[in-house]
Amino acid sequence: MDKKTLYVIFVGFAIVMLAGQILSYATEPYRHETSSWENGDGTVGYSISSNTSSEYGVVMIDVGSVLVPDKLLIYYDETYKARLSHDYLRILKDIVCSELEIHGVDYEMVNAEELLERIQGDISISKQSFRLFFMTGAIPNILYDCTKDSPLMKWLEQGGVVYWVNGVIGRNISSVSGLTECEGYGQLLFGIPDSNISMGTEGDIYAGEKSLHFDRLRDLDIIYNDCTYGINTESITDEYLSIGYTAEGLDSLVLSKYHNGEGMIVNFGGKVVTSSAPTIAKVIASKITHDSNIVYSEGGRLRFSEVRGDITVDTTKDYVLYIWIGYPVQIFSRTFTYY
Amino acid sequence: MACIRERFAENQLFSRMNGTLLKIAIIGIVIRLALIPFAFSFDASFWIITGAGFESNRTLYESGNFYYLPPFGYILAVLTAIWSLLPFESGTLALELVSGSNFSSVPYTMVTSLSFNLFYSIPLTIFDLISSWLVYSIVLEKTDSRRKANLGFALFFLSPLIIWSSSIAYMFDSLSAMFMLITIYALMKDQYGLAGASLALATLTKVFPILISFAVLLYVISKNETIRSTLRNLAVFLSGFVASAIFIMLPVFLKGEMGRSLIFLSSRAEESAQATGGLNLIDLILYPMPDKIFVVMPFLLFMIVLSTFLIFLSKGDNDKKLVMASLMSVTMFFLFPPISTYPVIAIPLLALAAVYYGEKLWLIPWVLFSVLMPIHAIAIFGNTILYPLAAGTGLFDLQTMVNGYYGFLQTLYTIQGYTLLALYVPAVSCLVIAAYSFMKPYRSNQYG
Repeated sequence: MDKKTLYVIFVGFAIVMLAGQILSYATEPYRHETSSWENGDGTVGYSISSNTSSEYGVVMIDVGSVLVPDKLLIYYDETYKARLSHDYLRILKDIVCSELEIHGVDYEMVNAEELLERIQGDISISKQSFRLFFMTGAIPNILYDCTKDSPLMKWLEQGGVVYWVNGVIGRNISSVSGLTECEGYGQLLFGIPDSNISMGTEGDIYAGEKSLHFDRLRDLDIIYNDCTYGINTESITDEYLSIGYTAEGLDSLVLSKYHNGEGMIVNFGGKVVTSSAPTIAKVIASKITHDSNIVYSEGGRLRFSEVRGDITVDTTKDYVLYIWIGYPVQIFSRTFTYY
Repeated sequence: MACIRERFAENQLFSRMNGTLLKIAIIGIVIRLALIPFAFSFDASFWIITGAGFESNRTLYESGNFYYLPPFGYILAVLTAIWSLLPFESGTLALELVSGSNFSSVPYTMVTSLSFNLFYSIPLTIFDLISSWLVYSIVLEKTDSRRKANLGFALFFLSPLIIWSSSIAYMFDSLSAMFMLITIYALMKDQYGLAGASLALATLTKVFPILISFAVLLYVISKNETIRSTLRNLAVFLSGFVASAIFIMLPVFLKGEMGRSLIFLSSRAEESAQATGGLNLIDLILYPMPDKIFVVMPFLLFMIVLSTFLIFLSKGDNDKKLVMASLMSVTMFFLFPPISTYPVIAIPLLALAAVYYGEKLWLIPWVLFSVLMPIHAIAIFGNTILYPLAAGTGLFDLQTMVNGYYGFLQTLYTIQGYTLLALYVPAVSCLVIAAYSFMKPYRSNQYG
């Protein structure tokens, strides 16, 4: 082999890598679009297009009695203690936000003071303008004191929606100086003893057995089996959906009506890690509720073209249309609300 | 037609290609094609997730699933662009794989499709072919023996470890090996800038080729007669290295993703710190899990420096010393049992040692690395490598296979314990053969 050939091989690979750099850092070569509209004749139309050859899915969800706002507030405040290190949470926060962005979720990070202000604002107008995501494993003491009179519980009472991950829901209260634990959170949130919510174990608890309502929202392809901080749903008397997996009597993913009001709590029984972030984002994006049913589901493959369709709906009901592109990993999704 | 034939004959590649070489290449390709239904979907799934990240217009590290430095990631971006045009599924999420053993993430629940396996095996096979061709060319140039060159080609292209790595594990170690071979070949041809640039790419692809840097330094020193030419050539080498590293890392740096691109190092160090807490020597030797390697790193580096020094202190041809010092540097690092595909970079060096350096004993570690590494991998993966066959063809029931895997898991753990210990053998055999070769001239003088 002469010198020239050696250079040709090297330069050839360098060119391929340069092309890769351009594709991944200098341009946004992939285009995906969806839209949806009311036709006025009891049908909802939709269109999907992409410049890739990808699978797509269209799922119409009857959300029942809970109306989930578009806006998502993510609580993150480094001045307050968290159950996990802020170094860890900082990385995971970015990954979760990256996932939420591909699903088109309108999110905003808020600190404890800002969150209190927003909650009080909602309470003052008796309306929910946002939903709330906690991933610090603890709730700031200015929002929550383990009683139903605290601002967060008042907000839940009037119909707020909370997504929870990274610890025992309602147990840890954070302040600037540290964490404290309270009791009676199980009764407050779900009407069940604290002992029915897992305190977590040294190792993680994963499950292989499908939970009670696993098949009900199956077309959304939500697969979540971390029961480490799962809930024993046997004694829950309020409406709930358990759509994950179950092990040791603990359910991994539970959507439940707030015991003392109209709101909803979505409990992920595990923690935010890189591999769980896409599923968490999908649950948030699809706006599913404890009263949800899939009324229409359709899918296929996009071949660099537009797919259009119409779905017949009952105009007296509230729906969410969730359209996604990409399988087995979703690369784009959008949610359209028909409340 | 005659004209085309003449053109082919004029072309250096085709004129050098002979019947035997062609047969070896075809056999290797056929074996790889036959293995398409077999894949370790877990590792392959990371390419799918990273590819999906690209298709979401995210960067290499934004979706948080690429745990290497960027070179292969850039190639992956190009492959994704091609794949996104093809009407095939990359895989399926199989509920049968959801178990109490792992989190139900995509890597643990996905089974790759046969079309994905075929598509991704193409670039990996190309890396294998180019690496094999480089071994062939070095041997042919140095020995002028086509028979030996063919053997060198076969020792890389048909090595079970190389085939395992690129066709079942879907790992890109042979890309790193290819750049390392370009480094060695370029040094032999006094192309110091290219050698430096290629070593940077090799190291940024997978870190192990950096191990030969001390051998490279001694090679340049011993090859150049004056200090001035030594310094000049080292400066050219370093310039190539730095330029290449900047070329690769610049987009990542500008995007503020340097920390994320290096996360594989910090996470491995963290794992190692956890794994080695309260560890004693017996535990270390009997349970040599890869995450404990940081404990023995000083010893391994000492062995690399020592063996490199001894090789360059001996008499003989500088190019052969470069090959042998590189071989010892790489294999001494594997004295502590590595993850199965890591020794891919040792295979071309063993091939060169056997056919160019001319010591047939080096075929022993070639066999040991080539066979024991895949055996250990099979002991870890069990029948999971058959999942794509089951999901893609319906020849077997996936649930039955999953049940079989878990039913056999305890036995697999026991087997893994033994096969892991067996992984000491290949590198130790290198040490023994090196010592034997080193002593050979002295014995010849004494008795001959």
